[in-house]
Amino acid sequence: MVDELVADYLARLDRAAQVLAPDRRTELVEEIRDHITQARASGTVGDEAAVRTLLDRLGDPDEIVAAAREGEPVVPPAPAGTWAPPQPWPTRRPSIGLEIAAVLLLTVGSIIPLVGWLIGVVLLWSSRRWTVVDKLMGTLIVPGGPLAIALLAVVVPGQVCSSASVTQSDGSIVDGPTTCTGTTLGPFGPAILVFWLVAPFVVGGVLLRRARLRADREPWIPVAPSSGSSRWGGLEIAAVLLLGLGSFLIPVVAPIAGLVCAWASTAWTSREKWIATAILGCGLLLPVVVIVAARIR
Amino acid sequence: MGILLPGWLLVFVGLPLAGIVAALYLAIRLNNRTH
Amino acid sequence: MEPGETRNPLTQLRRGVLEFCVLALLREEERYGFDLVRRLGDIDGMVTSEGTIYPLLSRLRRDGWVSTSWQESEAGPPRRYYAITPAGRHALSGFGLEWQRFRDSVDALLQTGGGRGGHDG
Repeated sequence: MVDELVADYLARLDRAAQVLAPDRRTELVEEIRDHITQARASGTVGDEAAVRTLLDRLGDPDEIVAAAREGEPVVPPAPAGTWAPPQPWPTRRPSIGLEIAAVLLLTVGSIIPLVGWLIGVVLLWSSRRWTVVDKLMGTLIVPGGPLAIALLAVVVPGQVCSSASVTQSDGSIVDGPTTCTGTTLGPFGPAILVFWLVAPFVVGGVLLRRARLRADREPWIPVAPSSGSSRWGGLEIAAVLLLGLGSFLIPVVAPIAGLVCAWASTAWTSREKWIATAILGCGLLLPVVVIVAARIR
Repeated sequence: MGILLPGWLLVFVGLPLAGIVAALYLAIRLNNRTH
Repeated sequence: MEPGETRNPLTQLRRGVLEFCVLALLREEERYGFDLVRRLGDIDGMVTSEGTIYPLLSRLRRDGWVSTSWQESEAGPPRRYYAITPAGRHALSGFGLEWQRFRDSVDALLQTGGGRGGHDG
């Protein structure tokens, strides 16, 4: 009931804000939505009466939009009949972007030495849509991730067995004892390998399905007909593109340039910027560690 | 030489892959601003 | 003013003064949106519609009197923090002087009715 009150208020606000520029409109609705969320999160706004008071204090949506219009260029309203929201107000299902990223990193992302899988674990545990059992399953199957085995194969020498011929006292030559050096997975090696590679993907699929089902049961989000994101400026797009794709065009320089763009942007907090820097740093440092370790051996 | 080659490959593979992860992380954080 | 609206001078006054009250709240430290709105809303008679403070903050940002940054919070998503800029400080101190003069003048007028001289009925 409370969620409906809030969704209805925000829908009215969004409707009234049609006269504003699209990015201003989205920003305003999001600010008011954030305000309501924070008020409810603070614990002082519990029951329906308190929410009604909160919305009253926020004021009439028309008044808020009028305040936003002062000094703003106004978009002329569409002629009647050309646009009308279908009744009831359209909503979209909650997105599971975080969960998808977690599963991607836990499976495919494990190809990045150590770090890829670890970040997958962090995202896994930060999701609201998985139970502790789900999260334990995702962490323990398998630790390090499926593709970590590929890295191990590069670094750890395989088993080498040899047997020297031994000449017996009566002159016959027989094979001596077989000696093996290096590491091996033993007789179950192939089975373990297959499990290590395949199980995480299966578990990932299961986890995604659960996340989808649980997310669908959450309150759906009112949809603004013109949903433009006001947070993606040129700098943010440049940062993400350079970091993600730039290395395939200009290795080394492009991802660093992308990082610089991320730092220059005001859309991310310092902590987020440091985390991105650490990710990049790990991608650079770990191969160096591997080289050094190989030389020492 | 056998050890050195995979090492340098990793640098030119590890960094791009780390870049992809970093880009993914930043993009998701920006899109999930409100919740 | 809309036709038919009661001529309450304080409505206009509040609207004009509100942005400087926001700047004053930001003078000592930066604050996030919800915090600002709450503080202003708690002051009796300051705002009738709390939601209108957000467009006001946008205008302050556009005018360069306020800058924003995103910061992590302990529980929940990052918050947008507002901080006053040097231009904002300049505007605030300018307003402070004018307000003082204006307030003193109006007070004096209300008390003494203008003093002697002028038209006597």
